[in-house]
Amino acid sequence: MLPLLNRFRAAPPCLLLESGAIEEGENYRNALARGVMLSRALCRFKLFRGTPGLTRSQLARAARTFAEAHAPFEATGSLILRTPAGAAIWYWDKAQLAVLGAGEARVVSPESVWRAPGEGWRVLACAEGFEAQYWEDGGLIASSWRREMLTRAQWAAFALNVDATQQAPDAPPTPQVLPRDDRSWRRAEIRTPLSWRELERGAISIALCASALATFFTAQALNHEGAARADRRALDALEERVAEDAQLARVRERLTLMAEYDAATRTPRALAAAADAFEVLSRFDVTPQAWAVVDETFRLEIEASGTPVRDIVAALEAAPGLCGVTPELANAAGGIELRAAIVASAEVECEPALRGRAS
Amino acid sequence: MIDRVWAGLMERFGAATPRERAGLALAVATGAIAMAIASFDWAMGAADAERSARIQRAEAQAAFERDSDGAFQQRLAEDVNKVWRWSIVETSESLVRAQAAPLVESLALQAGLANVEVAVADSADEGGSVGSIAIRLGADFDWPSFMALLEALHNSETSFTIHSIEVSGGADGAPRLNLLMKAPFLLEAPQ
Repeated sequence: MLPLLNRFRAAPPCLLLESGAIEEGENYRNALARGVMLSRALCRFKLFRGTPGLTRSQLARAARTFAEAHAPFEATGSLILRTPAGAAIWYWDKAQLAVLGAGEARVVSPESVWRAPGEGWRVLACAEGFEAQYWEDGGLIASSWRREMLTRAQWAAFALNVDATQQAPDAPPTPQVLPRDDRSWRRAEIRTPLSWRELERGAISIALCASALATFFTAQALNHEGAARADRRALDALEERVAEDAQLARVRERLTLMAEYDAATRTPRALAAAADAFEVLSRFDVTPQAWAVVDETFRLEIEASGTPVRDIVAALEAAPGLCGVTPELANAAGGIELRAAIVASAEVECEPALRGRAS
Repeated sequence: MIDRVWAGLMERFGAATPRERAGLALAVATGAIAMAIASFDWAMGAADAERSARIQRAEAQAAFERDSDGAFQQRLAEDVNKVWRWSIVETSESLVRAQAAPLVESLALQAGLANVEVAVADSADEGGSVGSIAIRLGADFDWPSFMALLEALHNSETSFTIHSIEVSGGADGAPRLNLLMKAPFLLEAPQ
């Protein structure tokens, strides 16, 4: 399943190096269209520590304000990621990107965020240079970049500048080489809120789409109504023709008479039910003391002593014209009354609820 | 006049703040969505109406073609004759009752039933040309006579239909039959 999903997953954007080159020899224009991953050499990192007790939206607003206030360039691009400590802010110089030909790129992200998060102190081998990092509770607290591998003194200076709960090693750790394919940072991104202009554009787009749908459905409704009107006109014309034709009017009268006769002679299957029941009773050599077929119910009274009541009930239930057979004590003398519903017609099956009652 | 109103509207729209413009666009979008939903509902209703009109027309057309067919008309006339033959035909309902009771009584007696009692109930007015009259027959029960009665009812010209049968012990212990049957009747205009 996952390999299939991965086929539809967009590849990470191409990496833009400090020199302006695109790594892995991609077509520059196509690469920029997919967005740009900036070399760590082109980015700066700053941590915003949130005051405890802030709500998510308050923290987001505070982080955005902090990021704007500490923007290191005249034209600063930034990416703000929510972390347990507050927010990790990545900056880049938009003017420099423009010089490198990537000013038009819509989606920009530093290469560091594409590597899997860590915990504690670590050094990463970047596309260009090395990055020292300190992580706490899954959030990046500090990051520093050097063109060459950090010396002990540089490492000590980095560690001293970090307000860390974990003791830093004396020497810089061995650089790790991690793939740039982690996408978890996208869920933590604090995005710029929608502007009124963007809201207006979105609402206009929705209005246009809904108007197009409304027009389509209106046209369909008008089309259906036109067809229905044509059918009704044809029906009226036919009725008029029938009314004017004495022969056809007589046929209609006769049909009505036939239908009324049919309704007047419709009957419950009283005789068929009685025949079914007596066929069963004759098999068991039982003569009922009393029997009746009333209101679509067949009822009979038999003597209980020496009579295989259970077998008779099963046989009656199996008869085609009867269903839902229920035995009851009829009188103090030990008579048993059997009641069964009459099946409405030979084609109709016994209702499952009635069928279940017998068992 | 319209030009002035339009110009005024455009001027006000031009002077609107981004927030006001977004609010206006949202209101328009809401209206458009409501229109889309309403038109979808209308289209579905119209499609149903069209389907039912098409079915009605097809049924009417089929009935018209069937009714215009000479062979069908012939068959129908024969069936209607049977209806007249199998029903009790009188000029009033009381005459129907007067005719039905002795008819049933004579059938029962011919079948061999003893202590026959016949009662005819008033018919429920069903508002059509064909009515049905309920006849209650009481008699001492024995199987051969009962079977003969059923045979006689079956062979009778009048179309009797049996609605309920009840066989139970009488006051003297002998089984007693209570039969409810119905017969169709037609009222013809007095000559």
